[in-house]
Amino acid sequence: MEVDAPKQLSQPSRKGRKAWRKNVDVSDIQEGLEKVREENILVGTTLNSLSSDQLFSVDTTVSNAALKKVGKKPLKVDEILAQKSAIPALISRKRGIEREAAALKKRGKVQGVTYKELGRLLRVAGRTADGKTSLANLGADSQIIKDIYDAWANGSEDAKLEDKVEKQESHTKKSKDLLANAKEIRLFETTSYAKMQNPPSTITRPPIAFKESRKAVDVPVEGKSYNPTLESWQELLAGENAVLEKAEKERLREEEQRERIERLGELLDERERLGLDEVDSDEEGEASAPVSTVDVKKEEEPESATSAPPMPSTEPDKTTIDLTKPKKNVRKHKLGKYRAMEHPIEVKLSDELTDSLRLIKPEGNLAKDRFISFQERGIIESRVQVMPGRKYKKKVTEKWSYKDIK
Amino acid sequence: MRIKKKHQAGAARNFITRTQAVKKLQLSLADFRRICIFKGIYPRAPRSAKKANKGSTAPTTFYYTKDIQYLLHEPVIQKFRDHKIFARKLSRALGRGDVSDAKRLDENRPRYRLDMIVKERYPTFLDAVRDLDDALSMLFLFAAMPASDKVSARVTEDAEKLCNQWMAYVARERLLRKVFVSIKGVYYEAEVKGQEVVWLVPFKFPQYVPTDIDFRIMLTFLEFYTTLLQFVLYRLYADAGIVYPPKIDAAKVQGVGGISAYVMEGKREKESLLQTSTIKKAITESEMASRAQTISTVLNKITDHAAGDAIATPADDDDEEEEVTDTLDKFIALPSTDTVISDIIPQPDETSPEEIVKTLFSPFTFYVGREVPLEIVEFAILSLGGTVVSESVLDGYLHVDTDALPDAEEVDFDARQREVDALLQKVTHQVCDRPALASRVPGRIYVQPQWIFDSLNRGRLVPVDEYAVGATLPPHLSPWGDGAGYDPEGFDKEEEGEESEEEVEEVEGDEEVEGDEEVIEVDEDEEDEALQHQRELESEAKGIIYSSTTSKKRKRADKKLKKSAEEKQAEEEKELRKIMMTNKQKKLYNQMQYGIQKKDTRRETLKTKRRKLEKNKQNKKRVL
Repeated sequence: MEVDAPKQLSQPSRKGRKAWRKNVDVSDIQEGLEKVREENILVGTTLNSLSSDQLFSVDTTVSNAALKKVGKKPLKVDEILAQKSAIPALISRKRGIEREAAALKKRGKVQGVTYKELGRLLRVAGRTADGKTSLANLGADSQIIKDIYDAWANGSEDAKLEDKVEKQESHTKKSKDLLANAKEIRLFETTSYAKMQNPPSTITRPPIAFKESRKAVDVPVEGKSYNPTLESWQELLAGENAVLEKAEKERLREEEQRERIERLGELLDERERLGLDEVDSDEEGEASAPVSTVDVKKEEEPESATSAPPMPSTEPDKTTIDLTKPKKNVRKHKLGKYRAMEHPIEVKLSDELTDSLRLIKPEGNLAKDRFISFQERGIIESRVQVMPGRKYKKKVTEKWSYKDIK
Repeated sequence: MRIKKKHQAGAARNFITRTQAVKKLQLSLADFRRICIFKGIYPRAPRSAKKANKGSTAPTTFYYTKDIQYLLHEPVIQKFRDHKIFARKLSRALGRGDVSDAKRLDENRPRYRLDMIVKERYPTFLDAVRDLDDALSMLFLFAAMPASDKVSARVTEDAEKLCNQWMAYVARERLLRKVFVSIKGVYYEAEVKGQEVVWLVPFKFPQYVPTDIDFRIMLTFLEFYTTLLQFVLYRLYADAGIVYPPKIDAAKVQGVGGISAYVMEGKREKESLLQTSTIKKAITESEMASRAQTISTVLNKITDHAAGDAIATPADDDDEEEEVTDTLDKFIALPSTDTVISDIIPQPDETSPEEIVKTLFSPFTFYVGREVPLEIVEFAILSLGGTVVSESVLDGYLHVDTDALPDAEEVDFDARQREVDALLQKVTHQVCDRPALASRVPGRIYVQPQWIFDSLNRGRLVPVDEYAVGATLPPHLSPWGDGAGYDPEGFDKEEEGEESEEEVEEVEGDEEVEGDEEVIEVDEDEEDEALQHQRELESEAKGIIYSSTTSKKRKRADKKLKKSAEEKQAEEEKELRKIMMTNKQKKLYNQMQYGIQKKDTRRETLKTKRRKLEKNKQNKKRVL
């Protein structure tokens, strides 16, 4: 092939933007592009991209059809029509997607994604009909670890890597290098993922518990056996009964208080209506004073205090230990805003007790039990579920369309 | 002097409110709660909330500032942030209708792993085992939970899988120590690596899912505990020489599920699979028949499962082989010499109570009726070394619906019947929970399920007659009971010991008097003063010195005095020591004493009660 002399000499000046564009010789690029276009039209792609067996085939058989065709000349019109480009014609975007979607729908897919999968994606993104994401969908990933390793082995991270390399069973130089590199990187890494060297001492302090035992699973009292001794069952029953009684007393007290306040309120209203406020001066203090729950409490308390006889002065001997006194260092106050949830009553009545495993009906709820246990041990703070209410007051207006009706 | 500003030091610095923490970490509140659960960071209570909250008294939750500072370094938090970005991208893609984009995003979703956190929170393996109570209770709870909009089916499946792996391990290693069937569920205690692990398993009934608990929190705990339990199980299995995760026998899962479906494959066995198979071929048919066959072997045969080369139950031939080879060497201490004192370290003894418990049921085969909750009974029996044959499984085996089988295999019912008959011949005990039985097979012992639990708790086989079918069962006592260390079995021995001491003293007294060739009644408790005076006179007449008769009495009195004096002195010393204690020490000491005293009083009451009962019994006998 003849080698051309450098084009530099025939190159005119390229000063200025226009001159630069105008005078650059792009004929070879143009030619190449033209060639590619032709190939595209003929074959659909460039010839370079095709493999040789796609380009060539060795025909070893004699085809009768071909022999027959030898004599026949195709029509000119057919020839012209046959020169159609191999590139498919353009279609409008909308129609194209529709057609594609229809084709995929036939196969149960949208853009290569099954409808089931799409539904899952929508749920994960919170785009459901009711606008709610259920927890079940969010946490649906399996927590089972596939490549589990011994976390407490010496230098377990290294052990994990070594394991991996061993599994491949190719103690090639490359894998060994990989291992060494990984070790080195871990040794000198300075990214934020580096382990904090000194965790604070506060992190090891136990949580603030609300009960004596900090055990995860409280060993049950004997009375909670499915087939308890009479004595232990009675003990349990008495204990639970005492709790219920206390709650009931509290409820009754509150009710009484409420009634009292109502009564006082009514009295007040009546007085106001009759205009007696100014007349009765001696009762004024009682009636017109704002009735608060605190006052009622104060009224009630001294009564009980005076009615009880003064306790004989038995100074608790400090050397002996009072068995009835509850243990200290157990927190009574709440942590945060709310108290821990209360355990439901778990006891079987005498007619529900069976001494057979077959007839047993479980008492209580373990999910709740666990949750309360976390709260009692101070591992989580107590919260109360608050249903989102209406943010703004509802505004009532009359539609202007009422004017239309005459 | 520099002016001290308010809220610049002390509590205001040491504590941080929840809102501040959330802002500092740039997380949502939900994510903050999650990371706190993962990392074990708990809410705290400052001594003065007002000081900690810069003058505000509004109820808030506080955290240690240092804890939150520490959280800043957590890689998982970065993953949380990445997830937030992912959620936004996904939502946008779906909104635009770019479904394939959305799918690609979902495939490359940022995922986090908790293994580093597990390692951080439990620096040693024993730490992790110690904290297993919570993990197990949580997983067993979720394993029994119905799938709902709160809990996905996959979560419950995973939980169940892990629970079964745990039970299979405990049963194989015979680590179960206590069982207590309560009205809430079944409490188990196992001794794993020297640590007591207690967990609670709900009964297999449809559970009511409460609405007033926060399932996001529960699921976060579950996530962490699932990871923890997997690592612990991996280590436990590795230490026991078993492959983790164990294979699951598909046929058995369909049949019974539960732990018998887990194939505990030894690591050694896996290495030399060829050898073992040849060994197994060498075992003749007759030997196979003579060996206690388990239901699992039967089920193995159903599906041609490699002719049972790996069998689930611990009463397995492989185990037996291992046991033979693993007999302990006896260490005998060298006798001490004048110069060298040999140190005798207690060696594991085959006759120790723990070892006995492990093989308590090994000679027995239990036939479990279909009315008995299999999962409880099976676990207890297997971990005592017994073999289980379940009625419900046999029913399924014998009455297969041939149409339902995938391949049109010919089921040889006669052969199956023969197999089952052979199996049933080995049965020694039948566990039955019905008021009455229509027919009984001679040679079998019929017991109610409680017999198994009570035997396990006591560590020996309790008499069967109390647990017969239809009999009123003795109460099922808690193995942790409030007995405060009082042992009803040891009571007789104790009492005997006390009595015999007294007898010895009396005998000694007799001998003393007999030395003077004179028999004098010495029963001080009954003699009155007049009688004694009479005796004294008599002895005086015989020439015995007054002091010798009364010396014994005096001695006793002296002893008592001495004892009380000693006690007094000891108490005084204690008091003195108490004065020297700091307030903190004193409180701790008082606490200790409180516990000890509580235990003592409880034990005393139980003892007196027993004494009363015994007396009543004797009185009744006398009357009869």
